[in-house]
Amino acid sequence: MSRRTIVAAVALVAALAVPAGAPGQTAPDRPNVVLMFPDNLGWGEVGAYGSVRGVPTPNIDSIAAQGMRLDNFNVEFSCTVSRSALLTGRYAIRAGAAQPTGITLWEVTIAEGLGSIGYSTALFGKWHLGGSNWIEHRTPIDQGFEEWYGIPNTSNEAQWTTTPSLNRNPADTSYIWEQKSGGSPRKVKVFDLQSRATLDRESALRGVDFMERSVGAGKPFFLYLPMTQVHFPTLAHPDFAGKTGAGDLGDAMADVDYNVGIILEALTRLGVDRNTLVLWCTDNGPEGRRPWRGSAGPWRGFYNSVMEGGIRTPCVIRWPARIPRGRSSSEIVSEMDLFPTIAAAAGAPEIVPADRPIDGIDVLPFLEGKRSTSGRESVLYFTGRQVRAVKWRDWKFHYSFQPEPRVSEPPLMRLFNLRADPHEDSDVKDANPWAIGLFDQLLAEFASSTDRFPNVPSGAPDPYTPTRRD
Amino acid sequence: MSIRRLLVPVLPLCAAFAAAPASAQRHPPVEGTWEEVVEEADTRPIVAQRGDAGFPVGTMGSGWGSPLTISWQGARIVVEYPFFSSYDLQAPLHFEFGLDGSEVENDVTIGASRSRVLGRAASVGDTVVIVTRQPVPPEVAPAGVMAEVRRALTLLAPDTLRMVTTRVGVRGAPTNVVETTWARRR
Repeated sequence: MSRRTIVAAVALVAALAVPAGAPGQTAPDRPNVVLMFPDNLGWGEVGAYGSVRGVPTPNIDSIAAQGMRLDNFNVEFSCTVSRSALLTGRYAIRAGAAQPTGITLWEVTIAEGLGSIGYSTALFGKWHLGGSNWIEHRTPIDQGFEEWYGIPNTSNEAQWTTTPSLNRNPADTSYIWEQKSGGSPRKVKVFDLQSRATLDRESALRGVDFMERSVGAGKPFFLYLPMTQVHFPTLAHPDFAGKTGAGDLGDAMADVDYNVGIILEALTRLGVDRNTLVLWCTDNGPEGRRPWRGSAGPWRGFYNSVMEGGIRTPCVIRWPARIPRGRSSSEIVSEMDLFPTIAAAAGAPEIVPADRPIDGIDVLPFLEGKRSTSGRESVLYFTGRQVRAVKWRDWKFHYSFQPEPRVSEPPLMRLFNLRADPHEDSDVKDANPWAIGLFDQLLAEFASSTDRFPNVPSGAPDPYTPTRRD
Repeated sequence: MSIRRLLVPVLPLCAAFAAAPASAQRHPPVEGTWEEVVEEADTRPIVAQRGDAGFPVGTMGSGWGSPLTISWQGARIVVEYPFFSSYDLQAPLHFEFGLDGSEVENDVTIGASRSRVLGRAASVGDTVVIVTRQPVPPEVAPAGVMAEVRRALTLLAPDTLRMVTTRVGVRGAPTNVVETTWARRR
């Protein structure tokens, strides 16, 4: 029996166990879920967050206006680990997530969960959770998606055809792929600088086709659209290249917003906009590599660091049927919270695994305005296999201060009050000697959970069997 | 070095606060300007394990900046050090601690906010002990709870000062101890 079959069976048993008349949602009224997740797109690029370049983003802004804008949305510091945390609801270190190896099939994703209760599922864009040997058994299909189109790894591979020296294995060429459940991955075309510029448009249009088919079939759908913009090389669709006067990044931002508009327009046209939960958030802070350095707005730093610029990203959410419009909040929310929150929105909290630590919490009551707080007070930040910083309420403690990748400043530890010092400039640990003890306690709680449920080792092969120490 | 070993020289000195008045005390010659001796190893995180996560063990440091200027002014010991950069055009932080058992209140700007630091000092032999208390924010502990830091400054040689900084955990949190070495600036 396959793992997906087991997940589906467990969900079925749970559904049958619900007594008649119990609260919950049946298939017809389960909301659709659209999760858009652009790449290396910082806070400062988005109109609703102040757009330093002044490039209009009316479609993204409309999600905020019709729903909620989160001003303290926290993610992991880099592509693969962030996607792992997003889709599993767990710190990536628990899953052993790493770029070269991805995650094991033992991890349960949002797609697997929603698929087990009857959702159609699809991914169009960037995967980056399968490692370098993704094609053998770590494709999106193996993690719960029924179809996908896009790149298995990351956008900089588009440079390989023009700059082979950037490829560790010059014999390889990167491709855009597609695959459907039950089939093998198929090369569609070479992924180069040209196809890089048009991939997100293709993904959006495929997303529309997928939604049309799902609505036609009367099935709720989960559309995961991990856009490849504005990751380097930041080359926008020809419709926008050179059009904004705000450089490649400005053009790419206009491209992103346009594709968001394609999705939103389709939801309206299909008559499902009211009961569709739309989430638009980004995987980590802005691109830091020149010449496509992005903006983190008021925050300091770029992706690949745990400075606020690297881990606090824009996130707007709408669900007209349930989430009141026009609100914003600085309550702490994490990308890990989306899995339990989406599960709650679908009326199926049981699709979140109960046999392992889940770090995400259900923030739906907060989004609905039924609760003034998110319920989350802290977030841990890791780089590689190390704890690097902890945020607790307005305070952030860096155990090993690293304002930019590969840059450390003695004496290493730093404490900031993010309301008094949002730019993380002035270390105040000496004015707050209580802090080290409190943050040590938060870390000890995490360490205690890994004592009981050891982290999956990076590079662990499938099938993975977890160990547990009781 | 174990916490217990570091605390041993500090604890008996706390009793000195209740001892003879400042005028009767002989103060060790710690006055002058001191620069923290930073070994290369001190600037690198040491990775330890906590559960299954690596943990870069940085340092909390002494809690004071370098260079550090210490002087005696009557019944008080005065400590000064720069906090902001020279570009910021701000005076160094200035603290006074009572040597007569009284607690002196210091109002200093650390970071973007004012901080209230209450402190007193005592000396025994070649060691000066300074105990400070600082209010804990209301989101951490109920009003009135103070965080205590104990510093033992011991002259190892005329030009070498050892400082053991003990941050007492609040509300059951663990205590943090850091030892630093300082060289007299000539």
